[in-house]
Amino acid sequence: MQTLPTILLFGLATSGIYALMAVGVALIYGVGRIINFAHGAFYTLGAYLTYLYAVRFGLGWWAGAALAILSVAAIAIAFDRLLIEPIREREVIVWIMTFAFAFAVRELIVLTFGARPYSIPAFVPGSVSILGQAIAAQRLLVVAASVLALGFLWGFLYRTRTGKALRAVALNRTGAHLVGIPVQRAHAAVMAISAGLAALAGIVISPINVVTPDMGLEPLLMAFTIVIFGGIGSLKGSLLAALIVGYAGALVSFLWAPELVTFMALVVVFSVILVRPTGLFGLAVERA
Amino acid sequence: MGAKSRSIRRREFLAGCAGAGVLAGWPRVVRGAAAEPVKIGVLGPLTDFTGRDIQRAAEIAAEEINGAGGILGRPIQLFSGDSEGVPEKAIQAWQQLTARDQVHAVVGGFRSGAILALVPHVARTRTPFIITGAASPDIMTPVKEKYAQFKYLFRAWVNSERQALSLAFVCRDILKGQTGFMRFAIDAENLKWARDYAGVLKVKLKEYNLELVYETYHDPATTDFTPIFKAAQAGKAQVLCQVISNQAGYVIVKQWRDQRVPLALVGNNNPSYLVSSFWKDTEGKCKYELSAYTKAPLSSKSIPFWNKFEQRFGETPFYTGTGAYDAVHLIKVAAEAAKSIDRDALVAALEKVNYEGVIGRIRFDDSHEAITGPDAVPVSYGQWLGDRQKVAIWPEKFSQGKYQPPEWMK
Amino acid sequence: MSSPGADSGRKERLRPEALQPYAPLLLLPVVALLGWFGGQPLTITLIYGATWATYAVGYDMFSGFSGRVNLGYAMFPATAAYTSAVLSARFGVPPLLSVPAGVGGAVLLGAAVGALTLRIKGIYFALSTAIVPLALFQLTHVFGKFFGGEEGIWGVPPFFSDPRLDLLVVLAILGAAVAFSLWYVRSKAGLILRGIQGSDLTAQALGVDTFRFLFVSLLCSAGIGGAAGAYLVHFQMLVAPEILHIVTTLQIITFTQVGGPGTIVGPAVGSFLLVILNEYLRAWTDLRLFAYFAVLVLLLRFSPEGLLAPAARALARLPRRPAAGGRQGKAT
Repeated sequence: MQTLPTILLFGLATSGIYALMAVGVALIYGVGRIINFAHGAFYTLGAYLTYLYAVRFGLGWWAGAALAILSVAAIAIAFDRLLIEPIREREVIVWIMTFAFAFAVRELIVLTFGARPYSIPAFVPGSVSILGQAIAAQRLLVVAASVLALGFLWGFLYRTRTGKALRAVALNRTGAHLVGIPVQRAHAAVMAISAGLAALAGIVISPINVVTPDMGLEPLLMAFTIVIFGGIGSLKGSLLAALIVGYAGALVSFLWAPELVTFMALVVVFSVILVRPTGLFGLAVERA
Repeated sequence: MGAKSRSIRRREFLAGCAGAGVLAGWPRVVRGAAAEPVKIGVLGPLTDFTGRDIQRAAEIAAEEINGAGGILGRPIQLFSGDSEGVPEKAIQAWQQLTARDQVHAVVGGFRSGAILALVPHVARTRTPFIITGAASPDIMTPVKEKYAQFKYLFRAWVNSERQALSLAFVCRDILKGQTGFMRFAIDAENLKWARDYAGVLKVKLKEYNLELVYETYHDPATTDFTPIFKAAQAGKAQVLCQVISNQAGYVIVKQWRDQRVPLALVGNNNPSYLVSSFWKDTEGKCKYELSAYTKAPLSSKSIPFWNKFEQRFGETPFYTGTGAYDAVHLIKVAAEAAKSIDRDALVAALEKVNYEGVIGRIRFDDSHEAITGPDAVPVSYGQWLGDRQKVAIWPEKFSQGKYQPPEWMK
Repeated sequence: MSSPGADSGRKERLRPEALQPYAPLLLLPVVALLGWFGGQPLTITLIYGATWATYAVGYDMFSGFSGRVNLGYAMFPATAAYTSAVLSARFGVPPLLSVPAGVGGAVLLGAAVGALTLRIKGIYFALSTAIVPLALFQLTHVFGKFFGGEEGIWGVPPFFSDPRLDLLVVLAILGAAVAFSLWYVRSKAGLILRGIQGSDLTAQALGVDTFRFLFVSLLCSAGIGGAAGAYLVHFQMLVAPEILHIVTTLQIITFTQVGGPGTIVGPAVGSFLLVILNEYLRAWTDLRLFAYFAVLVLLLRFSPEGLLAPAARALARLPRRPAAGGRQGKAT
């Protein structure tokens, strides 16, 4: 099959983006205990802020991108502290709040930038030929960035004390609190990390397509699909599910019709919830 | 009981608040027949480049007209309605413009789906509407069939059928005739105007004996065209005819170049109309793309308007803008011919208009579609060869050079 | 003051006290008069207000009382809308028949979804219901030729040419929805629903077939949303897939939240207020949507109980909600 190398390569880039988003959602649920419908807003903000810093403030693309990721993380912390923390226990209200926040951000973007599309140039220009398929070097950067970011995240969570503290909060919040772990700060930290990952995803993929105010909707949907499939709260599950969904999507896209990918993903998730709600690696739901 | 009276008072309080809010905030529409200005509504996706230029061009036209004494001595006042290019918002914007702002006429519109949804509302409010950016032929068919209700619709732009005809000429004369490409593929976004366009193109390709090997309709929000490229290649296509009206125009071009796709990319790509910015925004990856654009000396007013717009706004106008500029002037011409701003008088006058606009000589046929005259061509095709360098290739009488197939295809 | 429990046990003779919860219905003629004489922009706004109010009532009478959050509620108005649009615009069925058919479609969907998902607990119920409208959205695109894809189905025949008549109809639908829901939640079925919200296990231990009650309640909820959804299509003369976005359901939940969940009347009033606010903010065209969501964020942050909850609850003579524990999937 002539398309096999293409599917392998492109599926990897897609999975990378999905993984960055899904892991963030999983973390926020696992540690922060909330479903964050605003995750797509962080993805979108990453791209727009990069444009703003690089072009309007003249900082150049790499510096702009780095600053954008930090900005989004900061916004996420403020969001968590000011808007979520006071109502954290009221689940439904938190859902509405995250959605309202996402749309407020979207409208602010339209106010500032307009609804017109923006372009971000490739961070790594040019094309490379792999297995006979010409592929934009930027796509390889997507893969590299995803792998590196997730690698750092793993190292952080499993090899550092702070990481351990976060995992403790995820496992047993009351217990963690008793042992002196600052639970509120853990929530904020996790929000910052996840938002940073989402922003990174939005930034590295933008040169390959285009920056628009609604660009975050589809990745948000896929992120939730993957998180449920992998098991809410399970990082391992999210990673594995991201790969599976990414490649399944690529197969459907190339061999059948791209329009069917989202539908397929939804059918999968629905079935998973009916049959095995905890997903691939999900943990039992009710915990302190 | 105490509880009862408390709750009744609360209820009244709430009702009072609601009522007060409604009355206090309501824009005062009651003004009476002494309303001075001629109110023109501007409709479109106003914060997107496709609609923004409708607004900008209308402003230029309004300023020119007001500077010369207005319409029948009355100044033009513009009102905006943001349709966001979607049916539901278009309807709400229309309702705002007609019920709340009470405009005398509306110009603009973009996206056939949104405009088709508006058609029954236009008949209901009987407001003259000069459409400048929606191309589906279906929009204008009710005009002949139910004239009394739908006569308020006019289109000062080229419908997708005629656009497709011109692309078919390009395929026949330039791509096959000059360059020798034999096999064609069509990739249209899954929107009404594009489906209409593709339908006509297919018929014409067959008529000209050009082989169509692949055809697909992509979701307008598509961010990855790789599967489509692959499928077209599998069919051994040499030319890919794109029919795109939104931001996907940036995406397809970038990915085409990144992947060195061995297909000549031609057709209609709306972002590619933006001669001043498209090259930069795609990092030059649009080189060798051949697509429609509107900077051609269609009339003596074309280039001056183009330059005036670019001087003022720093960018070249999108085609919805050129149409809107002409539409506002048309309203003045019609009103002065009819000596009235009354809706039915306007309609009658527009039907008889013969006006040299930026888009060419404008007359309306009995479907209220603009006939642009035998010599004036509504769209021309140019090939990107450098920054701000979209070299005219077709029609041949305007051409500035010969079409060059992408270098990686040799 | 008698509690609702005492009322529902015996045969209701129409004593004035029993009718007091229905008093808010008297607001409807007021609204009708406002809309009739207030000018067309107001009429149109009130039509949208009444439609969203009906959606909110339909949502609240199930989720507000059972505690099961239906994150995919938009599927009901949407299914009814598309059914009615397809039948009338594509097959020439008169709207008088296609609208009830639309309601029927919504109820059927409710039955299917209910059968599949009502036994799932907590947050997964919410997520599984959220998926249905998303999948339906995809279907409108996959079968684009039939359902109109991205641009929907236009040219749907209207009932009237004067929007004021449409307003009367939607207010009638709203009135029926409110009256029915108030009756339902004060009936035995409603009491059981509230018991289920308090504790599933207890209800089951007492021998209650929770599934059956939830199922019937969901069907009613679907029918109410479907009625308003199907009618709106004939006012706009269009159905578009935007209605299936999660935004629609979240808007409904927001209106419910502002009005006070579990009060029926609160969500209805909340919907009117927020729709009118939205329209009022149009005056500042550019900032409008941003201001709207900003106001929302502030409301949620500083008034999570629901702005109108105390008033609405007193009106409807409903007891305080069971202690808001904020546990999985429970509406607060």
